[in-house]
Amino acid sequence: MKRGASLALAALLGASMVAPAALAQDRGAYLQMGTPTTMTIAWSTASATPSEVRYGASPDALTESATSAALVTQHEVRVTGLTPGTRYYYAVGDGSTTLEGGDADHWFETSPVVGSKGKVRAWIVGDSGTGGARQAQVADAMVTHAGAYRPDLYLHMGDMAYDAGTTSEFTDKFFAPYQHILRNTVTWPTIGNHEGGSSDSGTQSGPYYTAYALPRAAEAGGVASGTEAYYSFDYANVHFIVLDSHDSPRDPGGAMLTWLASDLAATNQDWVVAYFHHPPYTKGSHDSDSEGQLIDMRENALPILEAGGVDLVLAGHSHVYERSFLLDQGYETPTTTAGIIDSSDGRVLGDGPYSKGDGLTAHGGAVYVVAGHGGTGVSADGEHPVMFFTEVENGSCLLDVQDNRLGLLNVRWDGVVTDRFSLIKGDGIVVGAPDGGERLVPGDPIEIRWATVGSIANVKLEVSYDDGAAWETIVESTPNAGTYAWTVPVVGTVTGLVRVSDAADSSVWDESNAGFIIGETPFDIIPFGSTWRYHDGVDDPGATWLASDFDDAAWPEGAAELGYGDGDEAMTLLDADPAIPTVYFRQRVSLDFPVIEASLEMIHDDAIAVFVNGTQVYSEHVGALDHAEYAAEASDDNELSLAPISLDPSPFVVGDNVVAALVKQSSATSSDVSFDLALTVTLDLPSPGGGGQGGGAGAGGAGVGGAGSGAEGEGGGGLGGQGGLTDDGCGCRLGAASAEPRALAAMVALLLLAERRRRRRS
Amino acid sequence: MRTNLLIALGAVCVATTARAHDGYHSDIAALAGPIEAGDPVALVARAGLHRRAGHVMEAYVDAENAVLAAPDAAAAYLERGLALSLLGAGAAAEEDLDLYLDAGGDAAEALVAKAKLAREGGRLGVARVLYDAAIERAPRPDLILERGELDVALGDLDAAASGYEEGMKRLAGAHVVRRALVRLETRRGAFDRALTLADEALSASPTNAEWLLERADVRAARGDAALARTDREAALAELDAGLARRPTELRRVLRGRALLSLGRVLEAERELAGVMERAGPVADVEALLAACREVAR
Repeated sequence: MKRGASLALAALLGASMVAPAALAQDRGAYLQMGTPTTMTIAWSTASATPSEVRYGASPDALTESATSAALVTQHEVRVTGLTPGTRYYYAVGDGSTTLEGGDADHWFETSPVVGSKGKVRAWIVGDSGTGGARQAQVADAMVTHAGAYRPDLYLHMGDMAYDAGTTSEFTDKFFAPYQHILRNTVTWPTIGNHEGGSSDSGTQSGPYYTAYALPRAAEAGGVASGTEAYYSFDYANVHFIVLDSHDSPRDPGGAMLTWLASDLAATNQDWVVAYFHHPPYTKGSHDSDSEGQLIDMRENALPILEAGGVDLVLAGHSHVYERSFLLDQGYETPTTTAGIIDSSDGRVLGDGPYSKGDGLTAHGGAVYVVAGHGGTGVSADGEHPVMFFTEVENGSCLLDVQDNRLGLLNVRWDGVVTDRFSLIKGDGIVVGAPDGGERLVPGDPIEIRWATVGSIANVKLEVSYDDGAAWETIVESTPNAGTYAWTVPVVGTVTGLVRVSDAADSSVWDESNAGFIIGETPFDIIPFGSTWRYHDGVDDPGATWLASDFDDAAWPEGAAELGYGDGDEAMTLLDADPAIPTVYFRQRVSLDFPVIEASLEMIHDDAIAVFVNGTQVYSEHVGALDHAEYAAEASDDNELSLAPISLDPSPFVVGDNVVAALVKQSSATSSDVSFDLALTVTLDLPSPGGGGQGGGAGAGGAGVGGAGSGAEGEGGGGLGGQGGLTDDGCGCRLGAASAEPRALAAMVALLLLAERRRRRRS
Repeated sequence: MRTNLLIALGAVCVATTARAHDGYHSDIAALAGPIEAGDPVALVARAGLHRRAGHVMEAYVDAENAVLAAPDAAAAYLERGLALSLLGAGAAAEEDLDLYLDAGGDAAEALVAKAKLAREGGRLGVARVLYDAAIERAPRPDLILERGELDVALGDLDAAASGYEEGMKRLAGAHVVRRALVRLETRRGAFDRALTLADEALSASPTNAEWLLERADVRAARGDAALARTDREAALAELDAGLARRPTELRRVLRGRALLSLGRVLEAERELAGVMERAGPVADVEALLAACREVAR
């Protein structure tokens, strides 16, 4: 069987897994115009039906409903009377049939009370709408980085549906690829020039305006714009302003900028974030010194925004990531460095965060970000003089705001955080590391790092393993040196936070923007492409070949994919005639903690059986295990498991484990053999508090965590890579003192292998 | 004009414009081949790119060449007309825009461009009709405002009010339209309606200083000086409180307006001059400064 046939079958099988009811939907459920007490749920269907949203506090108790009897294909149901900052589960349908939802994956969260100072996280994407693999990788990278700390808001900078923003392009290139995000996260878009190919801001018509339900009458805060082309909304203590740089007049006395001035003057929020498609500063695939829309936004909109105290301006259009210094009044054309009011890097782990006056201050400076790198091809034509950082790679940004601190980071498509900056208003503390998304290795020393504005002599350091529900003191008081060496405790958490506070005033504090992981699980203890010992001879290795204590030292080694006959093998096995019925593979892994879950993915041709410590945990097409027996039936060509296969974890033991597999030919005349295997396990790590906590070693200790985030150029305290490696690089040792440099190298290797696996599957 | 050619040209124009992803210069470069091959659609596309980028002469040249290459292509006349209007060649622009519209073209921007040319040419009645047609197709806030200003210039305050009321309905009570209507109704003595509109805005946002000042102006015009003063003092208090934590120039503009309306002219002028110095001519600062100086004189 050949690979093409195998993939086609996989696609067919994948399609058949879609629930029949969902076939009636053109677009899955997505969220619009969320406020503290309301939410609009939208979806579309191929034929006109009534609309119903059922919702409630749990998937099993969707006790409330909102309906519309109108027969429509574009469904928009506004749910009202909700409680602020609360998660609701939902399902959508036509009143008699549930199309989607009613499960743990379908939920929304209402906005917090306006003005509240809790954490806000927004995902920023621009120019994504290709529907291609890179767009998906960008989204995957964000999801992986964010982990349990998913964004509350999805801010799209425009150009979400190439080439012309048609209905089908929206469906295929925006709603389909982001469905897993859109059903939980409220989307707040701005129109791009490509949407402008099919949609018209003047008439409020076309696929863009059909798809989105946006505020016109200040439904989500701010001042009524009267149009969905530009609008504003409040979330917690942030006022977001969305302008139309493409299709609405941009003249200073025009309706949009007049509305903007009134809207800004009226806000009582602490932060103002504005975004629109055309960037006021860029030298990416567009040039802000020579293109009308970009010049208009800089010369006409920026003076109003900055007079209103804007803190952050986001845009797309230019296919690049660019992040400015702190700027003010850089309106001239061509732009020079004259607008730079703080030429530092804005990084907690570098020169320190940017700083502004307390509250909302005019002309205190703003940071400008071009995020036109969400999926389409990237390019640049030099570096813009006001930009601190430029990267010609795809990616997206995460914006974090909490009280008087704002941070933004750029997550490149491959998951590496390549830039971040922070902005603080007034005095306070900004935590720099760990700040969310890091994968820390138990027992490793890392640096906790922070920066302060104002007079703080000593700080208190604490750690939480449960997203801030409970805190343990790391050190009651230590000099405010900005760094503290800490040994990662042997605990397991995916919601770890560090809090740094003024030792003399506990009301001055900051904590990690999002959770870090200690002893992340699941671990890819055997990735695709790893090295196996194998036996491909005609002789029978005997019944004990699969036992833990079998001596396989004489077997040769080779990296997967192992096999012959297809030309894609990394290691070619013996291609005998007649075909040898059975070939054997073994790999040894060591685990320091019990396995509580395990899963398997494979490429095999033809039959396969997998064993853990001598116990068979999986087989497919095998029949009899005897060496001379061929497979009971043929597989597809290079058959690929469609999804991870859950395994019984009981055969795994703490200590050395042997994973063994045999692959059987379908017949003596079969032309090919293929084998590769990936094994992922979840370990039962000690509960927080039970495993002891690594003691602090005082300020100045050398951190090693920076190895995983070198692209950011910020030194230690960054990402530690994927934890749990033995010193022989097998990806499984979780000893309390496994901080050897080779382990870090192995982590990087493991990440690369994981990436390779993902590419192979895509 | 062949309608099918018009449609095809328009469609291909959009697609060609939208296809390139690599920026303005790349978009332009991508059209070089088809243009060299004599493709008028590409010329129209490039004209549109140039025009949106503010390169009007280049836009005109491309549109002109498109017209020469395809005299039946309506989209070419639209682009040439728009470029000509930006170049100040009003009569020639209108001629092209008429050709486009007569051929069945329905882009509102053709009507808007014609309306502005008529207005600038002093043909206010013609402009009024064109604004109606444009707004029928595209009820944009800016068009509602411009038509209203035109009605006022024509001395037809009833029509202006009617136009703003239409805008209020079609634009979900847009702030800029509501404010224009309040000022107009005050001007023509329809105080009850003006107050209703202001009260509606304040009911949604009771401490909105701008709307307190707007309502005060209505009350003052109606002769309710005490109530007007109450609103103005409330606005000033709100602004002073807000400025303590949110010292933005846009709030200071409103504060200058509040001070001016309370007769504290020197303070107002000082506040507004400070804004002018720090932030330039944002919002209404220039007009308010002029008003301060007028009162002081």
